Amino acid sequence: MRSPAKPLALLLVVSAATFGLAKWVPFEPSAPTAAPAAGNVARGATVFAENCAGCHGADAAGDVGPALAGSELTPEQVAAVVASGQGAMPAGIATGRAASDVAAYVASLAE
Amino acid sequence: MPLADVSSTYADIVETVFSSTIAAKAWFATAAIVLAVVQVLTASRMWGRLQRVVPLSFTNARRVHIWSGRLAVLCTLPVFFHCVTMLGFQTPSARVAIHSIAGSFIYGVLAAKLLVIRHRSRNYAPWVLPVLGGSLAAVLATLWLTSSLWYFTNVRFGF
Repeated sequence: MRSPAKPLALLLVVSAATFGLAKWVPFEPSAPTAAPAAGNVARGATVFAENCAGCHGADAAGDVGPALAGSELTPEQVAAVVASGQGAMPAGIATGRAASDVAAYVASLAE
Repeated sequence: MPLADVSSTYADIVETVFSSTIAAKAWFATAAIVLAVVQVLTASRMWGRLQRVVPLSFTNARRVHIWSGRLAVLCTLPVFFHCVTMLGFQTPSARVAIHSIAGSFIYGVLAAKLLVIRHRSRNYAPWVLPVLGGSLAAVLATLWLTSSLWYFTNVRFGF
C-alpha cells in the first residue's frame, strides 16, 4: 500500500505557496495618490444602494458597517477606503467612475 | 505593464459584464460550488452510491465528473486571481479570517487529489481519494458560505 505522505506533502507545499502569494499581494490596488475625479452624487446614490447599503444601511445610518451619514468624510477619504478596504470591508467594492461617484455621494451625506 | 495597472485592467474587463469585481467573484464561486455538487454526486455514483439519484452509467458518471471538475477549476481561477493577488490574506473579522485560511488550502487539496488520481494504480489506501475529494468539496463550501452567500445576503443579489 502506497503511503499518502507524498500527496500530503504536496498539499502543504501548494497551500504554503498560496499563503505566501496572498501575503505578498502582488497586484494590490494602490490607494489613490491624487484627488479622485469629481463624482456624480446621483449616480453615487445608485452605486451606494447596490454595493454599500447592505452593510451601512439604506440611509447610511449604519448597520453591520459604521454610520456614514454625518461622518464628515471627504471624497478623498471615502475613495481611499473604497480602493483599499477597511476592517471587514473588502478592497475594490467599487472601482473607477463608480468609486468616484459613491465617494461624492457619501461625502454629500455630511452636508 | 506595471503591477498596479494589472488590477485596474482586470477590473475594467470584469466590469464589462458584472457590476463590480466582488459581484463577479461571488458568481464565479457560485458556479464552482454548483459544479462541486455535481462532483460529489457523480463521485458517489462512481463509488456505487446514489444510483437512484444519479441514474448514469459508470462511464457517463466518470465523464461528467471529469468535465465538471475541469469547469469548476476554471471558475475558481478569476476568484483566485482577485482574492490572492489583489486582496490578499486578511483577518479583520472571523468571516474573513476563515475565508482566508480555507482559501490558502484549496489548491493544495486540489493538487493532492490530482496526484492521487494520477497514481491511483499504485495502490493508495482506499480512503485517501474520498477523503481528499470530500475535503475539497468542504473547503469550497466554506469559501462560498463565507463570501458569496455573505455578499448575496448582505450586499446585493445580482450581477
